[in-house]
Parts: sequence; structure tokens; C-alpha cells
Amino acid sequence: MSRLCNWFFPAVVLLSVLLCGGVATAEQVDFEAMAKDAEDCGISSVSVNILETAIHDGKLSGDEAGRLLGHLVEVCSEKLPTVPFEEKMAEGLAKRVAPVAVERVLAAKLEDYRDAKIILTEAGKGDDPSLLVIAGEGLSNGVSTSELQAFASARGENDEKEFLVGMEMLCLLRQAGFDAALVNDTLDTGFESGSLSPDWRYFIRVALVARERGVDNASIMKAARQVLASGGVPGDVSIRLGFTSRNIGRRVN
Amino acid sequence: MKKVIGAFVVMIVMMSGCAKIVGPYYLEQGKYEEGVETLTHEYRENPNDASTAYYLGRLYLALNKPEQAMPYLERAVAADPADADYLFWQGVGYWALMDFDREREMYIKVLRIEPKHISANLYLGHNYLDRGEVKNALGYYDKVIVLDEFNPEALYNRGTALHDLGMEKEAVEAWKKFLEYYPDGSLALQATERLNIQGDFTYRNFIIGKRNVTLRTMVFKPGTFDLTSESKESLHVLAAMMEENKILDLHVVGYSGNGKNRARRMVQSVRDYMLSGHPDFDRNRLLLSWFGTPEVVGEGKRSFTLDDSVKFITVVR
Repeated sequence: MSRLCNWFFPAVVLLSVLLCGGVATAEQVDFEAMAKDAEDCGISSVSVNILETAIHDGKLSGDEAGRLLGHLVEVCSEKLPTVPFEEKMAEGLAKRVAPVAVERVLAAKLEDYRDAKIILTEAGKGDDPSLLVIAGEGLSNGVSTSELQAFASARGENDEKEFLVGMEMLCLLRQAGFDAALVNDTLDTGFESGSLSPDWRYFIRVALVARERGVDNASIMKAARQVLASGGVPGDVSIRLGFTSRNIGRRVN
Repeated sequence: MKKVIGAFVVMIVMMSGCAKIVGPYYLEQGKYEEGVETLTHEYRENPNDASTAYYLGRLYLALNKPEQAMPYLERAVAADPADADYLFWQGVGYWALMDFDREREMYIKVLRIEPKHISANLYLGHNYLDRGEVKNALGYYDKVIVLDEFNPEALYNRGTALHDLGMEKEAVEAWKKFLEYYPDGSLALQATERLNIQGDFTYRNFIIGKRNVTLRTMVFKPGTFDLTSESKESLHVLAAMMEENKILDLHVVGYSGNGKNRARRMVQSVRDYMLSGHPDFDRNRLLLSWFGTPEVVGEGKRSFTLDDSVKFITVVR
């Protein structure tokens, strides 16, 4: 039954969107019914409200809103995480991007998430939504499929938590323009030393601040490798790069 | 005995139900995990108590688990938004999560409530320094030094800020002032390195035994081979280390651009002074060598020539 529901609602919504898009005028789209179906599928009421308000304010026609909602339902129906898509749609509408352009972005993002799911499934990690978001967003923001594939196949056997941290580091550092070889060397050091603790998810913040201060990418990653090799945390990288530290321990006040 | 005292404290706390007693105890003793265990129980009993949430957050932070710490610190702040320490530690938590913007926000809030909060002034200075907003950083370090004249981090980082502003001469003076108060420890080593890079060799780091030690450079009173009182203090440090470690022997190496003879007299003077205070020392534990040339020191990409210099090198067995 639940499987039927999973597919039934999106199918109905998709069908109505296609029909409405093809033959009906904006006023004829029963957005309310579509919205109910979308919420049943798992789309947040916030996103639905945004679309309703946009129709009400005359910023979107019912048809446009319906098509945008249809994209979200498609994501939902494929059991992909909807939040990044909802956020992207809200961002586009807030920035007054043309609805057609928002649709295009959502469609491209969906392709990236599909690719991400395939890559992760092949590596035996297909069920983890947080991984899917990391990989999907990585691909959406310029990380190449081959790079992600190489990482997943090389590190698929590693500990789940380390794999997640490593993938997040790969995606974020590559998006920030760090050279692939530098990033891979650093991740190799992390995996080999077993020191990719969850703290390393925040390394990107250190890296960006260091770059803001004029430290070159190679020096940042060299410091990261040295710290990883000795089992340290990102805070140690910032200290190694000459940044200040904080006492998080014994001091009482 | 310690266990008995610990158990006693825990018992009192359990009876009093007061995180304000147990929290500082566990933090001071470094018993973070035990503290988390005790206070978690306390927190379940009384989830609205701000101080319980605060100390739980602090203990998690001390365990270097900022993600676990933050919900508790947030809860403490929500329960008592006017408590400067709660806000301050939330800021530290954000730093641990490398969220530097929110870290700054918290310290600014603290200073609105308590403008003389030394740690918030200091860490706000750190935050500005790390983000390259050096003038702001310097302002906060100066303020900390007004509030706490001997604050080591403010004294040291004041030098860094001045250096970053291109005020090299003032930076050198700031680091020397820091070293005057704190001639030992990791910041002293760093301050010395930074001074040396600027061509100031008032202090130098030497590997003595297995430790990297900051020492005052050997300086002789004009026209004599008598050591200045500051130089003698460094020799006291070395003598104490040799006293402690009976197998620690040192090479004392002299350089002088004014000839071999001067270099020899310099190292002899050093050895004589050390032996005069420690007649029990075997003189062979201080092995002398000398060169009639200046010492050339490479620091970073630059090199410096020191006309008169004495180096200490651990004898490798």
C-alpha cells in the first residue's frame, strides 16, 4: 500500500501538471489539489505556501507554480532528498529568477542527484540521505562525476563515518577551487592515518579563512596533511597556519 | 584518597543537585567524561536549569565534542540570555565548529553585557586577527592589556598584529616584552622565532636534551668577558636542566668576527660561570669549541651574521 502511495500521488500530480501545462490556462490548474498531493508525498508545507503566495501575489501563474511543484514531486517520488530542491526553488523565487529558469535548474539538479545515487549505490552506500545530499550538491556545484566515482570506488570499503567526512571534504574543497591532486593527497593521508574524525567536516571553514588571509592552497593542504598524519583536528591546522587558538578545556571561567 | 574525595564531592552534589559546584569540579579536575555522566543525569531531572546545561556544554566542549556541546550551551543561553559567560562559551563553541562569524557575534554580545570581560575581549581580538582585520584585533589586545597587564596571549598576539600592520619595530618590542614576562613555553618559542626572523637575536631557541628551550643570547659587558645578568639567568636554566638530567652534556660553541681568541674567551667565560655555581659538575660535561668567524644564521628566506655568538648544542651519544 505504501509503495502504491509513493508512486500514486506523484503520478497523479505529474499527470495533472503535464495536462495543465499542455492544454489548460493558469486559472484552470487545481493547485490546491496538487498541493495536497505534494504534501502527502513529503514536500514541506513551507514550499507549498511559497508557491501559493506567489500565485496570490501574481508573481507566478497557477501553471508555473504547478510545474515547479511537479519538479519537487518528481524528486520526492524518486525518494531523493527534497530539501535541497525546495531551498533552491525558494532561493530562485526570492531572487525573482524567471520560473522557466528555476525549472531548468531544478531539472539539472535532479540529474545530478540521480548520478550521485547511482555512484553511491555502486559503492554500496546508496541508502544514506546525508551522503546523497553531499554528493548531489557536489555534482551540482561543479565536482565531476568521474572524480566522485573514483572516490566512491576507492573508499567504498572504508568506515561509514570516514567515508562521509571524506566525501564532504572532497566536494566542498573542490567546489572551493582546491586542486584535485592536493585534495586527494590530503584525503589519502586522512584515510591512511585513520584520523578523519567528524571534526574534519568543518575543515573547509579553516581553509577558506586561511585563503582569505592570503595563505596559498598548497600551504593550507600541506598543513592539513601534517595534522592528519599526526591524528589532529582542523583547529590544529589553523594553529599550524599561524592562527590563534582557544582554550576549550579546564579553565572554569 | 583522590577517589574518596571525588566520590564525596559527587555525593554532595547529587544531594545538593547543584551544577554550579559539580561543573567547576569536573572541569578543574579534567574529569570531563565523568562530569558528563553525572550532569546528564542531573539534566534529565531538571532540564530547565541553565547552569546544568551550561556545564554539560562546557564538558562536551572540553572533550572536543563541539557538536554535542552546542545544544546545551544554546539552551543555557536561552534560559539566561544575560549571562555573559554562557554567551562567551557559546562563542567558543562556534569557534570549535569553525563558525567564525557566529563566534564573533557572541563575543560582541558578551561585551555589550560586560564590556570588561577579559576573555571575550581577547577572543574577539583573536577572531579579528584570524580574519585579517588587524587594526580591530590590535584594539582589543590593547584593551585586554589595560584590563590584565600580564595576559600572555594578548601580549604575544599584539606583536603579531603589529607585524601584520607592517609595524616591524613595534612588533619586535611587543614580542620582547612578552618574552620578558613569559620566557618559557610554546608561545615563547614562537615569539623567539618571530624575533629571529626580524633579525633580533636577543633570544634564541636551543634544543637542550629533548626540549626546545628559549634562552637569552649570551651577551658580555663591554670590554670584558663578564656575562650580563640576563645571560646568567639563561645559564641558570641550563645548569638546572643539567642538574636534573645527569646524562645531559652540552657543546658550548663560540663564534666571533673579532678573532678566534675572543671566541675562545667567550665560551670559557660561559663554562666558568656555570661551574662556579655548580662545582660538582664534571667540566667535561661542557665541551668547548670556538671559531674566529661570525655565526651565520638562516631564518626563513633570510640569513643573518652574528659577530659575537654562543650556541648550545646537546651532545649526542
